[in-house]
Amino acid sequence: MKKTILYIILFCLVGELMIRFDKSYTFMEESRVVKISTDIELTPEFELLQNNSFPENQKDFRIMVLGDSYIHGGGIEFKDNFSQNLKAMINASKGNFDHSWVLDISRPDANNLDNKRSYFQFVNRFNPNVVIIGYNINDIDGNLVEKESNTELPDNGKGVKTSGSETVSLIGKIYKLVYASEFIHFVLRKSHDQLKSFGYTIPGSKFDLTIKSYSQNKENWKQSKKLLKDIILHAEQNDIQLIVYNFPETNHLEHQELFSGANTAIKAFFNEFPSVYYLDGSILFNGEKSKDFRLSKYDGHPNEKAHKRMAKDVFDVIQESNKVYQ
Amino acid sequence: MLFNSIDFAFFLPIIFILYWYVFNRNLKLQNFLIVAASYVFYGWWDWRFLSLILFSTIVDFSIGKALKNTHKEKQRKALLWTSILVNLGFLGFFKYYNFFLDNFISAFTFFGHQISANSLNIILPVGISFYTFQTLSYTIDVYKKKMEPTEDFISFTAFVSFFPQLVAGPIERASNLLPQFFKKRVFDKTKAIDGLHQILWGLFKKIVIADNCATYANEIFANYHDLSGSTLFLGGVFFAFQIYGDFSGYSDIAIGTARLFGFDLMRNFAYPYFSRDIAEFWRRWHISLSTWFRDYLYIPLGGSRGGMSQKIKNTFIIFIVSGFWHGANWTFIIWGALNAIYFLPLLLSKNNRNNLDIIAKNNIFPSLKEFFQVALTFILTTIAWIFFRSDNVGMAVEYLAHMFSLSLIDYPSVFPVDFIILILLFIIFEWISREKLHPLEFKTKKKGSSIYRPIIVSLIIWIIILWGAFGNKEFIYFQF
Repeated sequence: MKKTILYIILFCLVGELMIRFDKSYTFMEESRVVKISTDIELTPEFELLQNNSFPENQKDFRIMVLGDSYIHGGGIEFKDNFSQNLKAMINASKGNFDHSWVLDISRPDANNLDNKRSYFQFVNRFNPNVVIIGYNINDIDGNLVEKESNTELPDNGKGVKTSGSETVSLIGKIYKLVYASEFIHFVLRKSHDQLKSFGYTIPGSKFDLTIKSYSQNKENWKQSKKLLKDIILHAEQNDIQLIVYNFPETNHLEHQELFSGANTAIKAFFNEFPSVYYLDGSILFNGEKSKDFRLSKYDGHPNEKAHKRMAKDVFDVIQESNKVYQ
Repeated sequence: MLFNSIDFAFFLPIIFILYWYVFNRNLKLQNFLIVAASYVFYGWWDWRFLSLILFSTIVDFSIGKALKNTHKEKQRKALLWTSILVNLGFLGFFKYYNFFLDNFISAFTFFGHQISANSLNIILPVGISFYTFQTLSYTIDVYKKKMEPTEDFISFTAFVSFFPQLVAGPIERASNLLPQFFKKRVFDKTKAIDGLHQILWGLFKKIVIADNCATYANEIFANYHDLSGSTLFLGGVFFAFQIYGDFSGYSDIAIGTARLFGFDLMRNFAYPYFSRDIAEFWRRWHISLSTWFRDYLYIPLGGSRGGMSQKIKNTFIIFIVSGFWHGANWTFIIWGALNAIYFLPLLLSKNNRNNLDIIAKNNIFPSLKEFFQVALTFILTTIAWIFFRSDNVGMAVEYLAHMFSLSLIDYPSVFPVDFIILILLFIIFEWISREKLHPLEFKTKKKGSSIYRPIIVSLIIWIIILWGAFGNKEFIYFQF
């Protein structure tokens, strides 16, 4: 028994050291991770826009794509992503336009605030006919407050250490120790990934909190709705067709119930605006197998096949509803 | 079922518990459990092909019994040839039908005759080359009266289908494995722990070394037209480690798993990349196949008896057949022939049995001569692996032509430093352990060893978890 306990302790200690080493030196990173550029891709459209030399032809068809790594194509080559597939489909189609342009200003890690900023940064310069937002449930995470500077901390005394001696209980000490352990974090993260792949979620986990933000109408979802409403109203006023594609987590296609709380809230919000074409990925991919569309078991980013399929979904909407195809 | 899959992670403990805690009082039941488990293991891939194994089992079991009761040489020979024809007939049909047909058509076309024949969409049953050779060894040994035929059908079925080594070896001899099914197995904790260690080492070789090497090797082989000679050489080296990690990793898991159930399988790899010449390499690489060919092909052909021309002919036959065994493609045949050519100078100078002992025995480092011998042998085998890995002979030739160009001295465009460091550490660890059956074999009970053993084991587990290339990648040798 003693020996077994000793072995378990040694295993945990070795794990703690290895995880810390791996984190500090990102050893073997190159062979395991497909690196994602965090910048907007320098497409011909983007370069023309940067140089202020975009042709002003009223008969051109212009599409602007917004979103995070899911639509940007995290883990796959840019040429295979959503916007490039859509561009190929539009170029191959016969529409009432001289030339088509697809400006992809999606960016990994972008949330609803970033998307709003990107939208207003480019909308007047690019003058799109169609705007596509690749929506992801985690778009309500991160900073969503529009301020001149977001770096300042609120001056309310919080975070300032109080004077006097601090007594920490034994439980507190253990908690601190556990909280500081990379090993524990690693095991929890992996366990949660594994549980999610079986359709379960740990209450209180980041994922659980994100989903609850929607179903319980928490502050970050309220703020997101405000940000999205600004885009929607601007698009409405300027006769821009707005398409929102709520991307599915492709590694959990068989367990859509994990996201139903969030998806219901997202759908209800967008359906308030008749001008918005809302595409629900959880419905469009219903009955499909995750292994056909995911990057990996623990990564919900769509693979090349999924990007192509989603581009086709959007292309069909454009073809059916946009005046350039009437 | 794959050894590196979640299915096997559940399957193994269930069978282990049933074997040692439920069926442990009855040998027949234990053997029956092995048969059932083996059929489930194989059927997990495609249950339809279970009928092939069962048919081979019935044929060889019946022929074995018939051989015992037949004393006329002519009839005995007929029985032997029936077994050979049935087993090799299956193998030939499933593995080589399309190859022969395509080459037959090409040959006729070359001579100006157009013939048409349809190739078949044949699925190659996993492991057919392995279990076919295993059952054949039984019939041949019974025919040669090297062993008594068994009357116990369940034991014989367990021998043919024993799940740890069913799909990718080691190719067991009936004389070694079959008698183990007749004896009562007693649980040996030390043996089981050693088995677990060997499984762990096999998983490390497969998931960390082989599957990560595969990422680079695949990338380089897919783009060989655009890459420098040095990168292509590195591609060959990555493939050399991929195939070693993949196949020897499988063998380690198989041997380790068998040990958990109280069985001893033959050793299949003995640190082949530390060989000083090609002859030594072939005594250390896929030992169960090399010795099978030696015992059942080379020796019956006359072996090293007779003149030098006989030896050369037999050497070429054995290497080419060995190449052909790996797959129905000219690349494998040339790979075999190339190894025979490498072997030839040693044979002619009678130096093919020079390096029988382990390299640098009782020394930490090899001598300079040994170092260069090992390096040269490794380079030669790597060149041969390029044929093995290529889709066709043309590709292999082009790959080598690109490789042996001036750009061989350029800095490689694919050079993953971290991973190369890991491979070097792997080589050092294998070098230190080269006198052991596997690197995680802890024989001595030195003072303080109780601490360093779990640390080493933990380290390997964490390396697999953190740096392994997961995704249930198949073992290369499944296709053979």
